[in-house]
Formats: sequence, structure tokens, C-alpha cells
Amino acid sequence: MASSENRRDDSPGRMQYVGFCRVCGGGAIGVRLCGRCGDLSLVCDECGALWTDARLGGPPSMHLVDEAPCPSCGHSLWEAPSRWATRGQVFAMGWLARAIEDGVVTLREGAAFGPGE
Amino acid sequence: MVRRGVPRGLSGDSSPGEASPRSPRATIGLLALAAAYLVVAPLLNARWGWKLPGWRELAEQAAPLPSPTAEPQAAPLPSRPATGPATESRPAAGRSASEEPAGETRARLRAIADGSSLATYESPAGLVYSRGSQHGHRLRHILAHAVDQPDRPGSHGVFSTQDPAELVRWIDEAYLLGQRGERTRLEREGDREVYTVDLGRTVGFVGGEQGNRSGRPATRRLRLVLDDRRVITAFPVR
Repeated sequence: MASSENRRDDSPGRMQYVGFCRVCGGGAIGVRLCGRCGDLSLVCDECGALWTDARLGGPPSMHLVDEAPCPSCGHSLWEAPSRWATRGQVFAMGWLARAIEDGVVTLREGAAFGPGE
Repeated sequence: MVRRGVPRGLSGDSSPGEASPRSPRATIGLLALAAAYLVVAPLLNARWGWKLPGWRELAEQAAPLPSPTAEPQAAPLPSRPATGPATESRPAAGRSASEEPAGETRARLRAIADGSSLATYESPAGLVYSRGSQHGHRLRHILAHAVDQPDRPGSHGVFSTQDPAELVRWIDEAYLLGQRGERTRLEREGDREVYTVDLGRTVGFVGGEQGNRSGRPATRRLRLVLDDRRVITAFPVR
């Protein structure tokens, strides 16, 4: 039986996030799923700073400006079918699941900023 | 013999009268030099950030004409920070707000705000609002800070205006203060510049989960994140 948390997990406008952005100081770092290749990136929902690993204390791997290309395949991370990852998708991604299990980052769930898809 | 005050090659120094200032050859030479200047000056301006006047400026100096389309309260375009020449990597934009009537500017901003336009907008201070962010356009992204989102994780700065033209003015004001280093903290992260500017009056409050737990405190400070002159985001901060 699905828990209430799992039901929230797939609802539109929800976001799994792993911390707050050190660049802009105003955004949560959400787990973004590429709609084409299925890879996950950690993206600030405010300024678009993007990390490809869980070392959020370091500089971002890139900043999304006009385009928002997935670092793995180049597909847009903001346009559908890209979306915020579900909790299940987060734990299915080895490097991120390990980082959470090792306590490098803490996974939380909250409201996505804006459209949220 | 060297004659002072007349460049060699203009005067000619082989035979008297061959290229005197009034001769056809001298006139042609001067015209050629003037034409070369008009071609080269914009290139030098673009490459080195110089401000050599072009033909339009020279003509205006001779007979200044009022610009019928200039917005009266438009701020002057600031000199660019010392990160490169003025035209380097500047995004393509339509007319800037300083070149069109206020009503037209408001209509353009409204169209972007309601999602019917994704046009690039350049503010009077030269800040560029273009496509990008999960909201599709930077201006729409900033307008999402005109309403509270109480369940957003952390803080969510909320402006005390929902008027896009007024927001653009406030952001220009913060940018110009930031350029002068007045009441400003500037941080850099790669290509990003993050200005936190005290505007000296209340510009909004802190909402979101954290702000609502703290009683939604009012704030005078605006944070502005830029990539070159592209606006990435702007919002009130505590």
C-alpha cells in the first residue's frame, strides 16, 4: 500500500530537494529528472545553478542561463517531459542514493517554485 | 624638411601645389579619411569599448534634435563594468525601454508577464530580461516573487508590487546603486554576480516557510543575480 508520503511524492508541484543554494541564497536545490535520458541533476529552483554530484559546498558544475541543457544529453531540463524527480527516482540513482545514505546530503520534500512540472 | 601641423601624406611634399588643402586631391584624400574613420570607429568602439563618435553623434552635435520617442524618466545607460567591451556577448534585444514611449514599454512588459510574449526586454539601465528559468522568461520568474508561496522551502522574498514596470524600475535602481557600490554587497560565483542592495525603503517581505514562521518580516533589501547583464533573478531578502 502506498504511504501518504508516496502519494505526495508524485503529485504535481512537489519537489525533492537536498539543500539550499549557496550562489543566490534564495533557492532550494531540487532533484531534476531529464525527460529524455533519465539522468538526475541537482538544480537551484531560483537561479539555475546546477551540480552533477552531491558536493554542494563547491562551485556548481554549470549555470543554466537561456537554455537549460541536461549535462548528459543536452535536452532541456525546464521543458516537459523533464520534471522534478520523485523520491523513488532519487533512490534509483546510485550516486545520489549513496550520498543520501552516507549523510552527504539530506533529502527533503517541499513545494516546487513556480510551475513545478 | 618637416612642416609642423600638417601630416605627411596629406600635404604632399614633392612639389608645391600638387596637393594643397584646396586642391581636388586633398579634398578626395580628406573624404577618404573621413569615410575610413566612419567605418573604423564603430569597430574600435566594439573591440576596445571606446566611445568615438559616429556620424549620427557628429550630426547631432552640429544640430541637436530632440528624440520624440525617448521615455522622459528613462535612466541613462550606465557604463559597463570593467569586465569587457560594451558589446561583448550582449544578447540580441529589441528596442531598449529608453528608446520607446512609456505606454509601449508597459504593453510589452504586460505581454511578457501574461505569457503571451517571450520577447527579450532591455531595461533603461541596460539589464536584459530574456527566456529562461522554469517560468519560461526571467521577468515571469521575478513576478513569481510578487506573491507569497508559504509552503516553499526556506525563504521566498515577496515584492510589495505586482506591477512589472515598477519591478523593472526597482531592479534598475538596485543595479545602478550596485554599480556605484552604494549600500551594496557584491558576491561573485563564476559568471554570476550577486548584488544585495539596500534600497532605503520597504520593497517587500520575507515569505515562504521560513518567512511565515518569522511573521513575514518586511525588508528594504533586494537581491539581484546577474549573468553579464542578463537578469537571472531578483527578490527581496532579509
